[in-house]
Amino acid sequence: MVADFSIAAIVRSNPALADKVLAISRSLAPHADLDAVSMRARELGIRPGMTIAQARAISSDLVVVHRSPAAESSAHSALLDAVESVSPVVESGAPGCAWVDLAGLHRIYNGEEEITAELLRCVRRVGMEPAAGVAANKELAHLAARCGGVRVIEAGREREFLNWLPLDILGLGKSDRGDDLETTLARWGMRRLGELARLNPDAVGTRLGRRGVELVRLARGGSHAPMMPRRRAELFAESIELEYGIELLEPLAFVMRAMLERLAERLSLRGMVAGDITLAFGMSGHRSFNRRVEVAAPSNDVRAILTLVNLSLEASPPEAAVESIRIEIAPRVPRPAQTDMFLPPAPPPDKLQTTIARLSALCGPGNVGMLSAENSHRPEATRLDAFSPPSPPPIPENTLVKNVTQLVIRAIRPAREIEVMCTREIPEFVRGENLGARVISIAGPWRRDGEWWLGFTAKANAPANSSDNTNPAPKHGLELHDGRMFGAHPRQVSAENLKALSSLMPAPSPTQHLNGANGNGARTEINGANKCGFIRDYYELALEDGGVYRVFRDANSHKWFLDGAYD
Amino acid sequence: MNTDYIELRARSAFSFLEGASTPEDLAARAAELGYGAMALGDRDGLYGAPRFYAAAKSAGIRQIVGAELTLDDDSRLYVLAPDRKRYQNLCRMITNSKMRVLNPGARARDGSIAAPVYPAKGESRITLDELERYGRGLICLAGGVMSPLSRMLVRGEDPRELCRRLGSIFGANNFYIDLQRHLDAGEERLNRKLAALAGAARIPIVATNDVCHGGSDRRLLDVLTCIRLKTTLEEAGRALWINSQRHLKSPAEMGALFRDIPTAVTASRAISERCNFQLCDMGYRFPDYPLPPNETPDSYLRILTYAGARERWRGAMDDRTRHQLEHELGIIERLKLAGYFLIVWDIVQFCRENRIMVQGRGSAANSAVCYALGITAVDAVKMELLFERFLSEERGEWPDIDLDLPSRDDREMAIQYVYRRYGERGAAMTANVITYRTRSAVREVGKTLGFSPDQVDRLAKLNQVYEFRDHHDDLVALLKRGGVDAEAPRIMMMVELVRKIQSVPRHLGQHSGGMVIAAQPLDEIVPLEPAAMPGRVVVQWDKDDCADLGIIKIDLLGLGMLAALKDAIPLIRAHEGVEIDLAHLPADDLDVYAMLRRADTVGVFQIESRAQMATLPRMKPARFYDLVVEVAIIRPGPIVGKMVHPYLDRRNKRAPVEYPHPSLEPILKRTLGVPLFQEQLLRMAMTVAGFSGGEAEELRRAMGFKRSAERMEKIETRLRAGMFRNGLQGSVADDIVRSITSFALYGFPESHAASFALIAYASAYLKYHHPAAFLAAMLNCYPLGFYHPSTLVKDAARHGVVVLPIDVMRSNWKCTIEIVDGRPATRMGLRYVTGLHEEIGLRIESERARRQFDSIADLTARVGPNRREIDALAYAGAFAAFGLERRNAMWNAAAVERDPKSLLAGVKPRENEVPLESMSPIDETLADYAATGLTTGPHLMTYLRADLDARGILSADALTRAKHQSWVKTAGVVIVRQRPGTAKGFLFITLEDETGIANLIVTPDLFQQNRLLLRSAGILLAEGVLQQVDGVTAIRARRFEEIKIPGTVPPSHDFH
Repeated sequence: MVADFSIAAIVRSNPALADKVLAISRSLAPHADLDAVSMRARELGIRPGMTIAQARAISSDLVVVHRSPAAESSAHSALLDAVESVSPVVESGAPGCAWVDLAGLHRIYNGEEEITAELLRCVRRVGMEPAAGVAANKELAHLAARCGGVRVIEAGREREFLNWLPLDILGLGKSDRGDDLETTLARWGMRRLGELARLNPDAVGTRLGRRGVELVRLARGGSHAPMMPRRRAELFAESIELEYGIELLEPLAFVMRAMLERLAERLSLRGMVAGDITLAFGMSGHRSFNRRVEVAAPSNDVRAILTLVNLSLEASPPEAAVESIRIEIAPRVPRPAQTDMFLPPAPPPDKLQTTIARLSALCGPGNVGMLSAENSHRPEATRLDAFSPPSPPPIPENTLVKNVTQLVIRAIRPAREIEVMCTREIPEFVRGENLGARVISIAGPWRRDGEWWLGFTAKANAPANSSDNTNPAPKHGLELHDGRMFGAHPRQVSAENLKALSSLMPAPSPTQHLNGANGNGARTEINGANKCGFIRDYYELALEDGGVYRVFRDANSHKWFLDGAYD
Repeated sequence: MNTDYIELRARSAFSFLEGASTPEDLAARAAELGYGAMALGDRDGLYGAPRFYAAAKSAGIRQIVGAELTLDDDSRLYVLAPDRKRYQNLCRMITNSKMRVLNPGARARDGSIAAPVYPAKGESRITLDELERYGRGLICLAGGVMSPLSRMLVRGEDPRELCRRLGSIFGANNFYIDLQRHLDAGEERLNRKLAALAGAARIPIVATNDVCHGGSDRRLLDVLTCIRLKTTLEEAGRALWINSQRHLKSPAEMGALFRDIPTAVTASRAISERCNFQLCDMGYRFPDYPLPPNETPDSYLRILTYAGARERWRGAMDDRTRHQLEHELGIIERLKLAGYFLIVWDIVQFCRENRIMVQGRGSAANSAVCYALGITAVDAVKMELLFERFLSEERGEWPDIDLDLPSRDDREMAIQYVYRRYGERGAAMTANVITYRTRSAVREVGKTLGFSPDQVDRLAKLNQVYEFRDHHDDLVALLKRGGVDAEAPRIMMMVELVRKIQSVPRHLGQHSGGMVIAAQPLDEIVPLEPAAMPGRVVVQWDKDDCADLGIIKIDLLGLGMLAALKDAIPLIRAHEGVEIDLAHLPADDLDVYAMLRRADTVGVFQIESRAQMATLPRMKPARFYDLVVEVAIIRPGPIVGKMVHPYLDRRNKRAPVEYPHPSLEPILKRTLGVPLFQEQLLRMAMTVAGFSGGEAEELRRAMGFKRSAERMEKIETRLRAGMFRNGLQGSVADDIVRSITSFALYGFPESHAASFALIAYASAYLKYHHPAAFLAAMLNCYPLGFYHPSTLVKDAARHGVVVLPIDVMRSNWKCTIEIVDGRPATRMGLRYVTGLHEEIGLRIESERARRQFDSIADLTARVGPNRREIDALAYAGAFAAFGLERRNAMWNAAAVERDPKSLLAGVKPRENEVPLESMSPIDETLADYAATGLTTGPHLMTYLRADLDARGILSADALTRAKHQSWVKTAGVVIVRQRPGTAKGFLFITLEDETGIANLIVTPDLFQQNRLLLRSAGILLAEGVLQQVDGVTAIRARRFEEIKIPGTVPPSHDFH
């Protein structure tokens, strides 16, 4: 058995927690009780039942995590796989516990010590530290294992072992009446199993029900529940529930690598190799994602399996942050691989994904994919999604009867720096690459500012996976301006209004100062941090050459940019 | 340029998470920008109106009252109240939407009428029908992106019909479309459509700016938006405003923006000139008291006062008293306040008729009329209290009478009486504006900045870890001490935002006891809302706002000790045959004062804390006024102001009595030259700085005001200037200023201290003379006071009270009195059996009254407790009367058939077959603690005493005889841990053993070194240097050790 199994399962799925002062609780609220604690926490005096607040008062390094049924399920399966590699007759017990029938094993191993040593070695290979007890019946063996280490109870010495065993080692739950058995027995003055053994089972049964009778029998060493061997696993699975959703493939692959390594270890313990792989991701918003990855050549080479999985996911990644992962592997008996002699040497279909993966390696992990619009007031704000050919846009209904003039802007990305000559801050002449004309009409300024938090928030500190303003890939494209009437009006703005609007520009509000530009537009710093956010004044300019352009003035840099041209 | 602009559309932070500036900030900014008037209209309420009114008034601008109303399709209309009638309609309309019953006629499962369900906070909606009923005459501005017209235009629908309807609702001259220009192209497109609509429908246009903050709060506004939408700044995207233009702009800026539509700017001024209503003109009237024929309020008050006076002074009314009463009645008459006194008297009468103890506290105790009317219990004449502190002609404001009532049911009965008397819409509780505290601010801001939940949790908890911090400790210091890099940009941003958000209202709560009443329906004066508590209605303003606007407030406050006193009196009458009249207790009982001088005050109101106990032997109280000083002196105000030691030194003649300035001698003579009470500080300000009565009153209110920091700063400047004029400067001036400003934190007025001292004296009197009844009452009213019931029981036992254990054959649900050997003894009540429901406890009481129980099985069959309850009774030893030892009882109880319908119900189990060993005495004591939280048997430390003696460890009693400065060891159960904010990180631990209590003082360094042990140990062994000063014993502890026992140790009261 594995002591503190819920903790062991968490540590197995996340080995980085191994040395931490770790505890498990159903809630992270300060007054939530701790359900289980690690050995390190126990050494510091933290106990299950304490509140998180109390435990934090003892150690500020305490890490509290939710219990992970997925990790426990995987760990329990791994435990069974490990012990099944030693004996074919295994019964699955409570999580973290398995019974092994040692009958017949003496022909292979040299006594109980060697068998238990082998069992312990196998369990350690799947990432857990076990304890083992050897006895004439299951309950007794369980109690022996609960004492820690390896304990062999010789036949005929059971009562001797039981008499001084404290009651709390039983981990008593509720009685049939729903009472807390441990509390009831403690109130009765029962401290050791020997004391319990002296009670009349019928009298105890009257008071505590069937569970009470069983306890007395157990205390007397008289329990003989039969072994109920389980069927051998036909599927190997590892699950994990992540504390935070993973949005990126790289960390996802990192997590999956550890899971695949554990699966490979379990498979090799059973003398098998990995066949087809089924991925099942739980995602934010209660969505799920399933993918079957076919493995042409079964193997336990984790690197090779991971490449296949990665390529499959890169081709069509999950649509949301992954919050839980389950990997199922169909086990195969290893056999020698043989290539087809009569087919020309051609890359298998999944080599395309490998190619994309290589492109990513060449251009940088965030630079291959598709751009899509970001939820931002900045017109050029985009994010990079994984490559997936977009489906053709549907043809709008009633296109023919709709009689609305649509003004289309050719957005220039990145915006091209231009020179704008102004009189009293009103643009009068525009000069730039292939551009040079007098302004004959203006609409604006339309101010957009915000994102002052860039540089302060968590995302900004994270690896740039979807950075839009630093995207180096130039892209020209057509953008349908969201204001359809907008383009029809620039020339209607009177000169008087233009002056009025422009007169607002030199006197920025106090907010503008906070946002990174002082009155002269010079860079400022906020509490020592670099400037952040943007302040831009957009104009639609009709030039003498007949073109209508969208330009903006960046208040942080005092520079003008050509943002788009209206067709 | 047209500079006629008046801002008509603005929202403050009282639009809860939709505005970022306080009304004060908006008013100050408006004045700075040169506005002569400005409107404030918060969402679905007038929450910020009183504060805006006060701020606008002091800034010299005229307030215009408005509100942004949410309609049932979630669109919003903005309205302004031009006159009082329309204001009252607006209040009523908002009230109706807030108080709309969503389940009219619904029935509960049992067939009774279900409790009304009201809209959730922020979910109230106003229908067009309600607008038709109440909207006529209100000025409506129907522009902006949220208006129903704009929403229809955006959807491509034709709004002309709606336009016509709204026009007919508000009236042709009152319906406007307001255009806003925030340099947003989309908005400009909408403006064109709105302008076209206005032109076609002949609706006038007006310019507004839809102000969301004063000028520099864009970041805060974005954060508040994220909090409202439960998202982060990263994720909020287009949910945030497109730019920072929604700040208050100058008239010139607005004129420039609307240069092409100058009439829109001019219209804003025209509208503002139509809005003449001011909040001071709400038409509030205090209700009239129904008078007997041919009586006026003044004559009737005089009759009642003299009738009461005759009873109070019992014929010993001297000329001084009569003169004082006449003086007070004269002022009351001139201020036309007789009705107010009659109404408070009416509430007090109701309480008396219903045997509810009631006592006025606060400045009302300065009044002899209040004493005569039975409102207060302090003889203001005898105490020479200053009536003008309560009421003065110069201030001309409503007095403030706070009534203390026994907590829980009695207080609720009084509150419901006021509701019944003045109607559901005639009385309401005042609100309590909840602002962000540091922890909640860190949580909310941290989330919006994208910190992970774990990080947010850790950052927020840094505040908890350093519990001894005072208000000088800012968040940066806390973060640094907590190991957080306060220089990191994200943290700096968080700190900046946390600082800003701390003054922002978060939501509205219900004040603990403040009620307002009116002659007319209150919903004409201020919008009302349903409170979370059933049957309660709350106004949208807090008590200070109500007071500022002259709305009468009466505080009905719950006090646990009053409930205990009330419970004790009938017990004493029934079992000791003594009638206690709290109003006429022997005033100077020598035994009681001797007990107080010994600091034997566990359970005594207000003077039972460790600090009070440490002061009592130095104070040596010998008369009532000493008690008044004692109550007032151990407060953060005098402690921070460093007034405690000078007073005690002078009292014990270790220092001469000196005065900061000769002119202050008359004021400070009673307190030996040390200012201790608010009244003294007021008089000092008037004397040394030449403050008028009004200014002194302003000073007093700043002291107790939640928003006092800025006000105190201004007042300090004035104070220093005044003192400078009077030739006071340097250290003398500094001392006086420190004395006054330190009272910003919880200084007591003398009258209030006197009221509390009365209760303290009464509780001390009962503790000394009727300790059994006092203990029973205290235990029945728990939670109250400073100590756990286990400490109260042990303290009473040390004073000779026999405390009888819980027994199903004797105990009632509550603790009772029995006569043992001719003396009253306290019988523990069944309420102390952990896990026993009150219903079962009462059923045991009633079934036993019918016929005694003869066995556990009999009790089970007749009372029907569940299995856990019967086990709990057995474990608590409550079946001892059946001759059953505890384990024996548990064994038998476990075998009893619980199902009363079973054939085996009531069958007595065979008791001669119990195989369990009997409990040892220490096991019984531990079982007592586990089952009831206390023990009536030997103290836990009794069992350890032999070992402790062998190790030279002294008992608490022995410590009192040990030498000063000797090295001692002691051990005891930890009953109190305290780390007060004024103690700079020192920890105070109180240990209890079978002989008494001992105090430990732990330095901050030692606390940090032994943090875990000191916070968690149940039984503590400490050694250190003994201090015996002025009869106060304490140990400056140096070494600690936990004594572990196998069982439950009674819990300590921890104040950290």
